[in-house]
Amino acid sequence: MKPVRLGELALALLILLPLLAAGLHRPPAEAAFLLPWLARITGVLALTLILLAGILSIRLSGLDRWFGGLTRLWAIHHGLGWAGFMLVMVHVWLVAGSGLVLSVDTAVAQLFPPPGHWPVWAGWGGFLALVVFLTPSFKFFGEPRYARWKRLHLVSALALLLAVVHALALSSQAWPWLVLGLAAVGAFGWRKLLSPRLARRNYRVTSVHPLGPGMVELSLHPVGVAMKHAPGQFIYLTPRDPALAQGRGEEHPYTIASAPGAPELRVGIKALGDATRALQGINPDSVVQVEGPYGDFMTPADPQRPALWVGGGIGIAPFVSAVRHLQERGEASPPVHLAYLVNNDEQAYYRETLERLVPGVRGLTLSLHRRDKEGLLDEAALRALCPDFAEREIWICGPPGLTRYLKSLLHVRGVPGSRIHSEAFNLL
Amino acid sequence: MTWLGRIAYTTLVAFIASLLTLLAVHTLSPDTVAGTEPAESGTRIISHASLAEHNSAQDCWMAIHGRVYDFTEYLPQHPTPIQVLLPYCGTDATTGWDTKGYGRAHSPRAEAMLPAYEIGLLEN
Repeated sequence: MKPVRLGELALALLILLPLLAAGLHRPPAEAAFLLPWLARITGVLALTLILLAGILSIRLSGLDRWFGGLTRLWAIHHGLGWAGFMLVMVHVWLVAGSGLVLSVDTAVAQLFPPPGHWPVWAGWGGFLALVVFLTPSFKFFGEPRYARWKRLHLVSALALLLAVVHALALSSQAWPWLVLGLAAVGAFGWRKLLSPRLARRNYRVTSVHPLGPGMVELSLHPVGVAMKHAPGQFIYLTPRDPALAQGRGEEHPYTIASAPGAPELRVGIKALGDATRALQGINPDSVVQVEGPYGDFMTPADPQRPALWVGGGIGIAPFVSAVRHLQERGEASPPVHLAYLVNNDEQAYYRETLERLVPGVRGLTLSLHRRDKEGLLDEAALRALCPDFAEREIWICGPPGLTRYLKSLLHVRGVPGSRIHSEAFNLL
Repeated sequence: MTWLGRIAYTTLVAFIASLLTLLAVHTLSPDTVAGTEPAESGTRIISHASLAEHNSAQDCWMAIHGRVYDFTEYLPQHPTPIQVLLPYCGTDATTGWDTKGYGRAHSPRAEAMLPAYEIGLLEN
């Protein structure tokens, strides 16, 4: 298991705040009050979780490391939203239940009062907005398109607003909702209005270097002050090239493949969708905007322990950055083995780069595993690449399927979860 | 769909189905409407002394604008904590009804629920 981080601890306390402020932590003295009490608790908790999910969408470079990186922060954001959504439904059920104890009419009157009783209808409006924007997030009807999903996510602001109105009108304590509500508005304002202007830095594309079919590496030179980053971090990149066929002005996350402190920032871009395909032909000398860095992938749990890095396909990018970094120092201490897993030779985009750099670094070794020639990477194959893999601290970056498979393999070999780091490519 | 998504989707379907069921039961069974009509309206005259006897959470009557209501069953459903309401049990709570203690009247929805709990008229 991962250690509990500062951000998560703060989050746990914040979750309890409105509950404690309303005095709802004390169960009622009589059994008859149990249902209304539970209805209020679930309502308060649901709104707290959803507001916190909203606040955590702030995407502030540096803050994400409190939570173990942006990918993990997104997972927490997603989990909070999910739990909040589930609790809203339980809340409505309990409100109905506390009315049903008396009669069906009371239950219906509690849930669907006359139109003039706006606090309840604000709650319903919020729920409806919640369903609308969460439908693609939970993939109710298949994988959503990135741009469409991002646009629909804006409805979350309406959902939060209506839910806060609902709570302010019905709760005994207003201040927790005002505090959390304003924080969520602040996070939203930063993301949508301020950060596109303040957090993005301009870079100029200096070269577009093809690494293979459907894969290029962009070299970017800072127009102003360069961004500082650590190996394994990533950026959000917004191309501004007016000649781009798709995705102009649209931000997408990419892992940084250059060493920290290098004069040029490099990102590998594989054609996976419309926007990334268009980027293969981006004009050198055009401007891109860079926001970040984000992530906390390469921080070791035990800095003395030898490491195994497993990069699957384009998941090699963070390790390319780390190898370039090691190459400047000339030594990997403790020793590192890098296993590069690819489907075939054609897709071993960074093979040349790595084979050129690795021999220059003492303590760093490289192996290549091609699925079409060597088959799936089973335990025997992994042992052949890195005999003491079970003793090492392990980093995995690649498609979710590969990560899941390798984690279960390592789990069987008794490698504790605290020694496995993984970063998967998901919608960000 | 992820497994979290599947759980959310299944719950949402069950949620909508349960609300539709509740509404269907409400629409299709006119008998339950009887509950909203005055129970023993108009017939019973209740004295101040007898009102005052019903002054606990287990037995709570209140007078509002000359009508007496038995709120014992409703108390747990009331949004305000019981401690706030208890002092009104066994009394003429008209002011409390009109002001909620801070100058705001109860909602039309609350007013619509009153007849269900009416048990008689308060003597002059």
